[in-house]
Amino acid sequence: MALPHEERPLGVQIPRVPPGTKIPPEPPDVGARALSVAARLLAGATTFFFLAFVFAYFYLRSLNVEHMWRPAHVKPSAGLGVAFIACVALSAVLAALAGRGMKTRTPGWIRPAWGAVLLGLAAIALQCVEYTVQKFGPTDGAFASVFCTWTVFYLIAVLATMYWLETQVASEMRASREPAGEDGDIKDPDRLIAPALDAAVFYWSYLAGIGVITYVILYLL
Amino acid sequence: MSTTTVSTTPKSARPLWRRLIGFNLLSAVILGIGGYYLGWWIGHLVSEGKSFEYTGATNENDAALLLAYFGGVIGFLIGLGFANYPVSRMLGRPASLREKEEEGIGRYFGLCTDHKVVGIQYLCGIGLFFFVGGLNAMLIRTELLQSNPTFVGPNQYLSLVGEHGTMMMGMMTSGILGPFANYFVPIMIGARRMAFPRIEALTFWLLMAAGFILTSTIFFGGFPTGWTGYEPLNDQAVMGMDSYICFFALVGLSMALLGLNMLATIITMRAPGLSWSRLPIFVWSVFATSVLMVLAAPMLVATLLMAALDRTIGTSFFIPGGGGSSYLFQNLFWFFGHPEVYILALPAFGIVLELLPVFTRKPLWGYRLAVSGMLGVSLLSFFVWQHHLFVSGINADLRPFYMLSTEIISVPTGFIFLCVMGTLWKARTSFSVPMLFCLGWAFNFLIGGLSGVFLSDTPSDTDTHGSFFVMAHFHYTIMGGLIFTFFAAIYYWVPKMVGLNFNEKLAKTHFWLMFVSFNSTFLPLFVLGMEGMPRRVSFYEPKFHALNVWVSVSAFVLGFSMLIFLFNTVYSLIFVRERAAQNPWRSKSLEWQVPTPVPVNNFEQIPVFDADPYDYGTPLAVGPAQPAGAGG
Repeated sequence: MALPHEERPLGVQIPRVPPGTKIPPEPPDVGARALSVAARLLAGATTFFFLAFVFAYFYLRSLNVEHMWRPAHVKPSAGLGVAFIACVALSAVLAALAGRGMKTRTPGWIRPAWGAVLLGLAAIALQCVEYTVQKFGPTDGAFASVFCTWTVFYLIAVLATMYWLETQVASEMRASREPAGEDGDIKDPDRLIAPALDAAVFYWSYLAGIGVITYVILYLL
Repeated sequence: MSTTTVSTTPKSARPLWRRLIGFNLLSAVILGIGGYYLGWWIGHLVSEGKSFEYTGATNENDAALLLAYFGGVIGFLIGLGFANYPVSRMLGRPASLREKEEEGIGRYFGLCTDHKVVGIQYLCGIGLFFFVGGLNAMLIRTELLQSNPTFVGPNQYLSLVGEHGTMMMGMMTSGILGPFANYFVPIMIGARRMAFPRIEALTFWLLMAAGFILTSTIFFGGFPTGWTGYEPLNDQAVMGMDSYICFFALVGLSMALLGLNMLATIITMRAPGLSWSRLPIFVWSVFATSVLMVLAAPMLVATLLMAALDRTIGTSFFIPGGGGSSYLFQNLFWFFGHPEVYILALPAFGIVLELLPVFTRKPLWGYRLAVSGMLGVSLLSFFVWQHHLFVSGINADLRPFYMLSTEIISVPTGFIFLCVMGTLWKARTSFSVPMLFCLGWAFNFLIGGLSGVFLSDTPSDTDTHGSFFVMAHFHYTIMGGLIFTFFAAIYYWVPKMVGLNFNEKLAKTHFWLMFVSFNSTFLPLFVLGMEGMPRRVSFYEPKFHALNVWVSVSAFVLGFSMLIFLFNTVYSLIFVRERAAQNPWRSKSLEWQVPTPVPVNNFEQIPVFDADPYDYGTPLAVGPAQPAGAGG
């Protein structure tokens, strides 16, 4: 036999929603919190993705199967490597400056943000140039395989992050001349630009950190 | 305050031609086929005259097939409308949340951001591929009716084993999180949506694309590696292997995105008052699983990309001749592969612990112990992967560490069992169908868990590695664990999802037939394994014949039990259509307090929690509502 407290009617605490009920737009802070957390989770996922290459690098290097770890001619261009990582680091610094400017509503933050995007794209271009001038390809031993694959996927990550930054810059430019209306499902969606930029800047800084580690492992070790 | 309506333009207001040429499944299939052939053409173009492996020599072109799959998936997603929002954001248009959350059957066949629609899409999609995987199992057991292969032959047998294992392991990683967590987690935590609704929809459609890609392997010769895709067999295999690589890479991507979305939702979108210590235990299990998904799946994707490049452009990650090592693949794969086992097991724990208090009318015993158990399993699962390499590629000095770490993981798993036992203790248990499946889980998972302890022990693992003993063990943990709770969740939650009841007699018949035939199928495999019958080999010694016939017949009965479930689904949900009560199980958790079917936005006002979720001794843990739009 059921106890008295279990016989209490349930379902009365949540009001029923008739079809077509009007729901107010969502406050932007909900999305802002989600973006902030997602950027950190994405950083975790990215870490583990590149950890596979770190593991492959040290595993194959320590084994040096048939002395094919790194034949003598496999030498990535140190100059282009330095230029690449400098572009990445500088882009991350500019992005951080833009993020700080956006938070403090400093006018002109959009210029460093554009600078960050352009430098990120320049880094990609430099790495592509390196592929064309280097004297080895992905088939020239284990190091060459790791080098080419790791850097290609790093470039793809950089490109995706540049897209993310660009969307925020484009949104801000649009918002400054034509603020978003109140007819969407987010209340004042332009208030999401700052937290979204913040999330993108965090991720880009983190990815730049991975880039520095990549540079150290692939060029200096 | 300005407002927006829940539903968009009624579907009937748009003419048929407009609906057909919009972004939907039809355009997705057309663009998918176009993308496939474009990729195929580019693949042949770029490999012309290059030294890509196999090209020309055996009339095989892995680069072309992988590019074809890539183009097909991209075309498919564009056709569904997944490129529209990213392009509009690139042009600076404002952010939005919802897309195509309209009424009508059409929303199930395209991009829809309603988490409830995505949940049902997942249930049907995964169900479809589950039956394909099951059909493979039936063919495998048919082959093993004879000690000399006569039915499909040794090579086809290997392909069947690979397809069965890969389909089940890949698809069922989202078996609970896809349908049930997508549908119920937002409701259970008092939110109106998932954190990233488009990503939620993307994870489903990626998985469907992956499923069809794996199925297409039969057109390219299948693959001989089983679900693990081991090197160097992987590198030597025909083009069917590319289907495997593409399938698992897409599954990994889908898994990582699903986990990320779940974590972001649980962390940021809980209703006021729903502190971590009040989170429903099912949500905790989803949380622990999602951590594994976000961290382990990217490793799988990276590994498969390496394998794909080895097969196409001639890199040498896993090819010893070029400085690579096939053991590298084993290490990287199992760094994902062992957490994968817990990705399958943890949601099952969550379902059992969620359902037991409802059917025992008792608070959950040891809530904090259960949470720590799940988080402990999640953490420790990253430190055990090398036990899969006990008989290959591991430094002998490392064996004791991995033996110990694997044995230690049984401690937090034991916490879960302790909580189950504590909750069942002196309970007034109602043996409804979901409860029967939970009890079935307890029996099966106990056998699976105990046999796992033997396999974690290096000496006994050395003896049983690669035998049917291992196969029996993981079928007890995965099928006996996950699939039984998958059905528990179906019988428990589907009445809420679709508003209709299952026929209980048929459901009970399904359970008993499934439970008996499952044990009758897999328990003898321990014996066969101990006697030395190897996995993945269709020939076996005549002395094993009688037991193999027994197992095959039991497997056919197991397959028949699935047909009973299918019949019940069609009979009850399509023909009889008996309306389900709003809360037929008298559950106190939040998902049962909302109307059936659940409205598009779940709640008119965001609820406030002011008590624990399993407090069956006090009134419902939901208090007065907060002002509209306060969260969620």
